[in-house]
Amino acid sequence: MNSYERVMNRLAGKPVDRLPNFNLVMMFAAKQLGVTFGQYCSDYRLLAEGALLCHEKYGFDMLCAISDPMREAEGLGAKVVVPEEGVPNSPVKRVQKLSDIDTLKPVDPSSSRRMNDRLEAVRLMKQRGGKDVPVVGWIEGALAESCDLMNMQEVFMNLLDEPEAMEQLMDVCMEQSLWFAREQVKAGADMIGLGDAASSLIGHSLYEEFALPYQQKMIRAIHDMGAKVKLHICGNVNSVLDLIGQTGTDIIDLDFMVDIERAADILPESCCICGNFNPVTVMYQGTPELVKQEVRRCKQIRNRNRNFISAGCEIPRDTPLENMVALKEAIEED
Amino acid sequence: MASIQEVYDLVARGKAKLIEAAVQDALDAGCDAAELLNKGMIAAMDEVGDKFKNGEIFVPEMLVAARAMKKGVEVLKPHLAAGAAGAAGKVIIGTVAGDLHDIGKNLVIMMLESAGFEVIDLGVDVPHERFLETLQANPDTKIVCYSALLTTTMPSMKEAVALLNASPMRAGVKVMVGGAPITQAFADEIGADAYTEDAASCAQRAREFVR
Repeated sequence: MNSYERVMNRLAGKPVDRLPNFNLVMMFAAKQLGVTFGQYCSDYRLLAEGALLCHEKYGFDMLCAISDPMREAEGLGAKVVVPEEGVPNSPVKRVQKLSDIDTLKPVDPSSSRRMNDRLEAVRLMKQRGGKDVPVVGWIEGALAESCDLMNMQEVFMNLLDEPEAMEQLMDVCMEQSLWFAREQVKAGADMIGLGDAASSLIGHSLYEEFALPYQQKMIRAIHDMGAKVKLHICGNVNSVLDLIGQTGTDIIDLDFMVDIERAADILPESCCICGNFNPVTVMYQGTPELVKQEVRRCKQIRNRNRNFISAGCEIPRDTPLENMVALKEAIEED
Repeated sequence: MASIQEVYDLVARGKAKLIEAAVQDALDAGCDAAELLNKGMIAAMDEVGDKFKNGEIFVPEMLVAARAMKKGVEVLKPHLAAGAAGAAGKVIIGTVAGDLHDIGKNLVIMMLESAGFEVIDLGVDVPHERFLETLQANPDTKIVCYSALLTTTMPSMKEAVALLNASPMRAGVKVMVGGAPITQAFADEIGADAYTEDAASCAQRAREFVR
């Protein structure tokens, strides 16, 4: 069974030879390639190379084009700095005041340098491994993207003070992200990762009012494009699991602070749980034995939920390689 | 007539637009300014912090509560004894070099200020030496706080704390650390005095340190 069959079978609730290894890597992959993170975020060949390396060496069951959240922001006019080592960011936020929202205009992703770079990455991944390994594109959720364009504290307070303006902002973000998703699906993505971590910080009522409707609309739109969705909300989502169950996502990434047994009780069976050991204390600081214990723990819900195995969030850059090997071995020991 | 209870409620519910008039009303009605600060605002923020810790409210509600408190304190300030608003002591805080994340740090600042501390915010990506220089310029500082969100900047936190630990100024202050990847074990390893999991716990622990 190849990775493509394994992932698609698991999503459909059909038998698999082992659970899919769905870990996210960004800085770790750059380090393994011996390049700076800045280069990794700017050159699609490196992004594809890193994903292929993790597939071949560590048994990852996807080629994922995730790198950093600032690609759409750049298209929407944010001045983005790509440091040599460190995460791309915009020191001066694109939206300084509410009236700046009127000036945002979604652009064709192929006309924006780093959005186009991700399209190229998806194309290359599809070409190099796409028959055997699913290719996963990546976009920002509407709330996360809003926080990339405007100071996060301002966005959060405005959810309470200026809900209409925030909806206007989230509408533009959604439009840009969906355009980006559509181009990635055209380029060969089988699945789209939808990163909306900011929504883990706002609690049940604001999630219901702001995060959920956008996630639902975006997930429906991506399904209409013909791709699956992996919703990524790192952080503590224990209080909104019932709402996540209503998003319609195929996969939900759950971070280490979420009780996956309880999540399996709450989420519909069709929503695959992906997770959820601690990336820091298990992968980065832990021993190979601890990694194996944690993978075994995550496997316990395998018959209750179509789960995938991964850390709660990105594998840290300096994770010891023996832990990556232990991760692969533990997933394969059935 | 506005009462202490009303001020308390407005802070707890984050009603920044109404708080100034309510504080002024309470003062006009003869409420004691220090009492309004302690029993109205600080007590309200304690409740906000507890609710945040227990997952009953979340970041947006905490942000608007802190904003309301800040507005209320501005009205109170002329009526308070000099320094009363920061009477618990001085705290220096920053996100360590190489790390640009600030929302966690900012929540800590809000809770510390709301607990009566005067906070010197060094911002993000703070060179290790800046913490020391600031401490040197503010010898009455009680606590130095370091924040990091990334595993890749944990070594930076370790270096920053080591630099302070090697300084003679270390004896006079407590060192607190926090951020998503930080654990008690890491705090112990790098020689910090305390690790706390969230902003409310940080303010609580800071109070214990200066008690």
